[in-house]
Amino acid sequence: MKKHLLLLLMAVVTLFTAGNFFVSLHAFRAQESAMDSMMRSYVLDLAENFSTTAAFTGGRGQAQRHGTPGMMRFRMLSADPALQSPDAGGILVVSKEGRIVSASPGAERLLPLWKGSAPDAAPREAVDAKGESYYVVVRSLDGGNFILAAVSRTYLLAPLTGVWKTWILSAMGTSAAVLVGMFLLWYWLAVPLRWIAEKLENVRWGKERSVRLYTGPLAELEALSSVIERLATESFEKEELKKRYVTDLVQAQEATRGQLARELHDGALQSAVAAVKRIQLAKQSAPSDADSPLRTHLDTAEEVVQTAEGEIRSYCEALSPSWVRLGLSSALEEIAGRLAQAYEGVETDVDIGVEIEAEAAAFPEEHVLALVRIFQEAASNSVRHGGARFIQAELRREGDLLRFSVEDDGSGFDADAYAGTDFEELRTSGHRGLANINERVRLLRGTMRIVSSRDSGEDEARPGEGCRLEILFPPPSPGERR
Amino acid sequence: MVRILLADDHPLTRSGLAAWIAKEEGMQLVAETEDGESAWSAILELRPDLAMLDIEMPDCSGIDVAARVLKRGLATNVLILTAYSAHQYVMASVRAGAKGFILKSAPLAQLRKAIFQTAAGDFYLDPSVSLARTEGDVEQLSERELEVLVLAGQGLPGHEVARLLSITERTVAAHLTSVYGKLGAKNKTEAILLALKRGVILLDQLHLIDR
Repeated sequence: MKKHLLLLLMAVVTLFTAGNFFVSLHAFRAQESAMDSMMRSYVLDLAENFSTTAAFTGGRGQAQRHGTPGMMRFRMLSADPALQSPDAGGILVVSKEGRIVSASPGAERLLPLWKGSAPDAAPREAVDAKGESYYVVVRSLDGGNFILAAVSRTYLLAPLTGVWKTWILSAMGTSAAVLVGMFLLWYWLAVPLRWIAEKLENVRWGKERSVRLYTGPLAELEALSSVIERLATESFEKEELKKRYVTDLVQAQEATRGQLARELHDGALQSAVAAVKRIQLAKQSAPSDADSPLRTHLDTAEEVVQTAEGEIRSYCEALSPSWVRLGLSSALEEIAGRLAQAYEGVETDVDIGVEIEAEAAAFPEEHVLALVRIFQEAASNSVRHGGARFIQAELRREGDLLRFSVEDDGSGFDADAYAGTDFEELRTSGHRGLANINERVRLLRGTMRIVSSRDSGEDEARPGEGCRLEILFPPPSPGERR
Repeated sequence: MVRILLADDHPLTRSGLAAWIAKEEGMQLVAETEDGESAWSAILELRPDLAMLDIEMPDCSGIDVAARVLKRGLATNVLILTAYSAHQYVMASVRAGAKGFILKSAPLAQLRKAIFQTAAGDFYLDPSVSLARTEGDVEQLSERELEVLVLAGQGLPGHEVARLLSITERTVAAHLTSVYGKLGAKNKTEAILLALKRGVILLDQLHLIDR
């Protein structure tokens, strides 16, 4: 329940407000009915009092018109609130014929409330010509006259009921305002918060430069979201920096290796080659006697220098293969041949093929080297992990881009497990091969994906069809640095 | 007398070879250059019988020079002399019209053989270019297999070979596989080099000029 605090709060507030509202309504009803019975008893009292007074003073009152003893009786009752103002009510003494015998001050206008000579058993409500509402009771007097007592409901109760009505309305208004407030709180705070949380859940930190989380009426949420947005941007920039750093590192590494290979080739290797040639020349001038010590020394020297030469050459090859200068097609053919030779007899023979369908003659050396390294790494993964016996590399044009793919018939691997994985993670989790490939892909400004037969739901690869590495990259521009 | 031009950017190699050529019977060094461009102008000027070219040179590689010689249709034969045994160097040299390919580490007797053989217009391939797998008789290649091998040897991609021969790419692959088997080769490059070495196909068939 703690998780839905807002909902709980809303429910509690709504319940209490509704309860408050109903209690108020009930109180109002009860009050109104109490007032009603009080007024009824009041008007009855008024009428009884007058009759009693009339009886006490002799009850004649037959021909009384504004004179004693009627006036005296009115005066006796004048302390009564109903008689203090003509609007509040009054008492009429009416003859059987409906003539006014006497009246409290200003009470003549109440005559229309008298509806005949029948006395009332209980007070009734009546409305006069002006629409004012009264409690009325008619009693017969001893002298054959009637007394009509009326108390204005409007005048005496209106202020009270008015206050009550205002109270009820304000209670209803408060309830409504609280409900609307709760809804708005939910709509503007709870919903955006949940949405922000969902978005944050899906943010690929370091992959997206700008994350738009929230725009709306709450400044606090905007502040929060702008802080998070800034964090995302920073994380993106850091990631970019890291990528650039790795790319620079790879580039620098290749450059150093190339430099070293050239130095070795132009220096040590050429000297060794020249030395071998000199030794061979010397052997020609040496005595032809096969057993002479000079001949033996020269043979040994030739062998030693030739061994050194071979070693230097293999260092050069390993550092930076010079044949990448022959262009992509030749370089890939060369590496295919070398890989096939390397695996020959080690596992089973591996058939490695290359198909270049795109114009790749003008590829800068850097691109060739990157693709060669990718091919090398992918092929070695295919053989070592997938047990592949057939590997095919292809370069094709795809729209404005080039697609380089390395496909094998091995057992494939669970590419799904790596889908969306950061390749830096691959490196740290021991998948150096894929991380290496990824670095070269970055050098090519390309994107890579792996389709494997072990993937579920992939139409492109079916079980037994191994694994395919695909790299999409823009063709190198003619002016690109070599 | 074979008139030889020697182009190598390394002075020690150059002087060693020059000293050897001077001593050898039947050959004469007419020019020594240290880069591709000057080798090309020397070839145009002196028209030597044989140009011994290093691959890695400033300006212009030995392979590029060979291609120019081939394009001009000069009588000069080219022998590529290199420190590296990469198959693709051999293929590139062959496609550029070089008659021979020899490693700098080759014994002098082999070098002599290579010089005379290529000067005469025959193909020479250094034996240490890791191909000596099957010796003895080679099963005869069919005419179609030869065609496929030659076109593939020119560096044409599979679909292009298929188009030229009006067959499917799958058939091309099947023919090549059969060729590999017959020659004892591991891949296309090896098959081509073995076929060249054994005279199954001729060097001229692999030239790219008319493509």
